[in-house]
Amino acid sequence: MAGAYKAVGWNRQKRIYDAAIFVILLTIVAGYGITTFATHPGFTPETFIIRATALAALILLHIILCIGPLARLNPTFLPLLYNRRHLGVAMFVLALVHALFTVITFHALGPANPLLSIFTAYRMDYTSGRISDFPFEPFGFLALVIFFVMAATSHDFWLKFLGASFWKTLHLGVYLAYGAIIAHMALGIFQSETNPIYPLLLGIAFIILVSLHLMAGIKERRADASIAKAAADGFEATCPASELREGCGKTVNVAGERRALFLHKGRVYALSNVCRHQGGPISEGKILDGCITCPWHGWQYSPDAGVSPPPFHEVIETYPVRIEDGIVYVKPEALPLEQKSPGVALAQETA
Amino acid sequence: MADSVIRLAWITLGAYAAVGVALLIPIHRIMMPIIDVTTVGASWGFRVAVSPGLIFMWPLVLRRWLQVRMSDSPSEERPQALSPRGIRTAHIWLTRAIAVAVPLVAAMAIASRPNHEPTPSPAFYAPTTLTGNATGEIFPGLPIAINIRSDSSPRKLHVDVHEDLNIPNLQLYWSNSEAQPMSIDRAERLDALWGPATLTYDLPTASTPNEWLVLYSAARQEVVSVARLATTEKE
Repeated sequence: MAGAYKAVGWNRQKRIYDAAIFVILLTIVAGYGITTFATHPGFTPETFIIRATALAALILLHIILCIGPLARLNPTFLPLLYNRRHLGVAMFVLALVHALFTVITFHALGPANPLLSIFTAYRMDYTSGRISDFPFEPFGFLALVIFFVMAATSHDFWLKFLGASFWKTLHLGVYLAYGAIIAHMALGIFQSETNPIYPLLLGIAFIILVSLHLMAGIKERRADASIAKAAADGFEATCPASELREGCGKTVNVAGERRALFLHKGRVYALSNVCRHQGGPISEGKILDGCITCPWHGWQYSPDAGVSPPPFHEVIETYPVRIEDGIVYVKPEALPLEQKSPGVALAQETA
Repeated sequence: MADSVIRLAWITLGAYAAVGVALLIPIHRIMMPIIDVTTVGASWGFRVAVSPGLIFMWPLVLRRWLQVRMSDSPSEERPQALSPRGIRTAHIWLTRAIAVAVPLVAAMAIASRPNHEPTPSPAFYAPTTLTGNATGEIFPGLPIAINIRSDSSPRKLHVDVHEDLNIPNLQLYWSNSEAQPMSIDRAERLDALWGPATLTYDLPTASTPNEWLVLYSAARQEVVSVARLATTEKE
């Protein structure tokens, strides 16, 4: 949450998370090294570094892209989401090492300017009709630029400075980078490396990635399908009050937007479902120490006014709520920011 | 044409980044405390962590600083508007595009990859063979003259490049392998050919029946030309 800025707000969870990243990377590089040097003793160290860093970055990229849908499908995976930015920065560093060694090995030892050579060295025969004649290095360069932008703007300072919408949109560029990486590989290494194991493994990873996104999308669509019905006074019916659990949230639809309902100390409150930090789903969080806690990174808000506990000053919208015939009604128009919502007593209304 | 455009793009990018670097200290010391009060007293680690972004985003930082200064409302925070529905829609369309485009591009690229069976063209291996102490242009179509002195010890190889070669990162290799087609896996790299120059090398070992000079483009990762050095056949 907003406070005095540090490079990294270290805590025990982040240290464990980063140690796990380090162990995974070490395992990938060591495993690849042992396999490669055992089967190809003539492999040069430069080629090993180029390929090992590319492989590790590719695996990290797939893990990063899988974490989002996994967390949507099963809350067990939410801890993976907590420090995903460190995964992203680690992936950028690996991609950068890969790019530097590639440029030095293949472009910096001759008369050509390496910065020009990476764009002009390869065949650029657009008229041959063969997609394999298309140059592959510009795709890798494009992906590296996107990863740089994402890594450079990964600090919370940038999230606040750019605004959550723009920041999230900027970071959706990871999908474009993923497409560029696949083109980079298909037009590059797959042209000379004929062992089918590489496209096969990539294909399996791609199918897993797309399947997870598809399953998460279907789940979200089903949740959104329950269209609210408007009542005469502007309130919209959302869900039976009996579905609410003390200290827990529930996602409902009001005027086509998701809202969070929380039952706290016997009273029902309606709030925005969008965390001020990274847009996390508030309704999937819990009430801890009297505050609604976002499941993604632990940002907190009071259930009645939607404000963060001191010294923080983030605030989310709250909405008028009432219960009638056991159904929770929510008004689409928010209360003025920071105004306390009285909520509605569950026991009294349902009695 | 492509070279000029790419050169101009790099120069522009370099100039843009140079301005960002020059502005780093004023941004950290003057602008950021006004833009965001929570940066006051922030750690050095934080300043290092955000600096690459500042170099990249300096026009936005400058604009925000000017806006805040002109509005007379210090440290005014940007409204934290998030449009989850819009982002969800963008997310859905991006994943759909990737799901369709990625397998398509990969399949087309793999299906059209060149045949990797060894099929060197007849002209690939130079018809000219240098024997004994001789001089000649043995790489067809390339302005490279080779002079070899096999009566000296060690043997001397003189390479005279007359003009710019326009082949990216051209490397000269020596090989005594009999394997065909010629590859650089078992060859020894002598040097990079940097356009007009006269270069001299000691050939690595005593002459053998199969000695080859190989021109290899490291950028294209392909053998450009191969010529035989039949230096054992004394004239």
